Amino acid sequence: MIKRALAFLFVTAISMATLFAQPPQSPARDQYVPIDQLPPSEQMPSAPFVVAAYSAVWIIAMLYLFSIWRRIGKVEEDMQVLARRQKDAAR
Amino acid sequence: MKKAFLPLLVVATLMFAYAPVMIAQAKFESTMFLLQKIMYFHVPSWFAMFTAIGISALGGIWFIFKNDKRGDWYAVAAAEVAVMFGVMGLTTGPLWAYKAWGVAWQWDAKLTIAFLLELTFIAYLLLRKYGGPGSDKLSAGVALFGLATVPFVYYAVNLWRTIHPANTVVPSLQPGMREAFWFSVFAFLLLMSLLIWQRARLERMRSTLDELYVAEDD
Amino acid sequence: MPSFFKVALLVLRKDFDIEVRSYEILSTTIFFAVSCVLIFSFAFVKDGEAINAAMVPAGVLWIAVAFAGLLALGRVFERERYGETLRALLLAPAPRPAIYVGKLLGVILVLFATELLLVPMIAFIFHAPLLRWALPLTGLLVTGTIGFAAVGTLFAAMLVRSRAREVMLPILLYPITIPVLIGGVWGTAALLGEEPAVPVAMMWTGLLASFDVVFVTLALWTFEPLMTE
Repeated sequence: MIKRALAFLFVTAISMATLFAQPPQSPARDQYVPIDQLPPSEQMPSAPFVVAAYSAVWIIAMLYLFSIWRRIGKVEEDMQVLARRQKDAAR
Repeated sequence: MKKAFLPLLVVATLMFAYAPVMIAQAKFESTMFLLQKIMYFHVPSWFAMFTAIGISALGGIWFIFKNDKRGDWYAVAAAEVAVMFGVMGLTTGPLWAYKAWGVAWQWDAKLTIAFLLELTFIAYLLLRKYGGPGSDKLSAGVALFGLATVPFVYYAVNLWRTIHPANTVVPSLQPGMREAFWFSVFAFLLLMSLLIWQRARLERMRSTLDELYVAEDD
Repeated sequence: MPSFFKVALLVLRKDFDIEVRSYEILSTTIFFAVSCVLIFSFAFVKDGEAINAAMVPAGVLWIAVAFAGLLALGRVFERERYGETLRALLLAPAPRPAIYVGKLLGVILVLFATELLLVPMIAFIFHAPLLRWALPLTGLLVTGTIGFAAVGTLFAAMLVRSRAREVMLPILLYPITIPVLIGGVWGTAALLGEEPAVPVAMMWTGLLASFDVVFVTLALWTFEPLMTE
């Protein structure tokens, strides 16, 4: 019984604390003002370009590294085939 | 020597992972704000490409004057890596330009010569692939002429009126941007070295394989 | 007797299957086409402006030089290759770079003769006052031709024994010599514009001359080791 009361008090206290812990807010906007055109600096946001540029660099580097890895794998495979053939021939 | 590769790869990966942190902390530029931060990948790409071209030309010279096959391995490896970094530079540039200048591309002096440089080394790779015997020596000549073009790319802004930012931007970088920039340059050059190393290793393996085939026929 | 079209399709199918393994013809052709478009664009478009009247005769002149030059260069070592006298030439007790210079002079003279015909023809067809500016134009043509021929002769020599020789020459040559062509076109266009600007043409001539020095030096340096076949 006491446990339940304590739990209830605890939850209430936490809620009150969060309510009062809000940062001071500017007076609420009472009107949204529409504009027809974005100001020039906002018309084409930069972030997609920056992200695209960085992704491009990563992707290109990864693709190239992968292509090297695949080609090395092929040469190693050929070497193994050759080694096997020579072993068979030597027998 | 081979054992150094994996730790260096880890270092390079970590540098690339950390680079966005440094770049995000760098100061904004006063006219282009966030967009200017493409510079931290764009300029180092071109630095890496020019360096790779230098390595390719040097490798080619070593090959044709000393008749040492190893020079040719590094020549072709560096040329391929140079083309790759060129693709990076030619991708990041127009992405930046589209927002900054309104057009993704313009045929001004610097961009034109840079594009021609990329074409020269694509031609290098085409020659290696389809040229048949003797194309290893000829490609050394191509790389050398390509190297002769590099100063023109760099100094084009001084010789002609061009829309591209001037060379003075890099030496005059303020402390807030300088660290991130040179960190990126170092990361890109490290990546370039690792890629050339591995690609040259592929050439060495192919050479060994050829010798094995020849030995088998005997 | 199999039908006409069936045979045609079989031939196509065979070539297609071979091509798909290496994409040799496709990639070299596409690259060459891109180079051509670039040459035309540099000859006619400057800094994003539309085609202006002075650029057209200048562009046509230098494009004609570029393509005629390609033909001349393709043939410069033809007789040696056909007669298999290349080895004899290389065994001769003469400094190798001298062979290069001799061939280079031959190509340059052929191109000069061609230009002697081209300039009046273009001046006539395009109503361009090229002949009025004969002196600065000669300077441009001399320096530009030497630069183009210097690189071309070296590459033609190297490609003598190469397969896919004919397509490799323009593919290798054009990216490196397009700056020479651009310099020639813009220098010539400066002479033909509304206000002819001889100093601008002289500036381009000077730039072409510096290209010449670099290219000829590099070619002389690398000819010897590259020609040890």
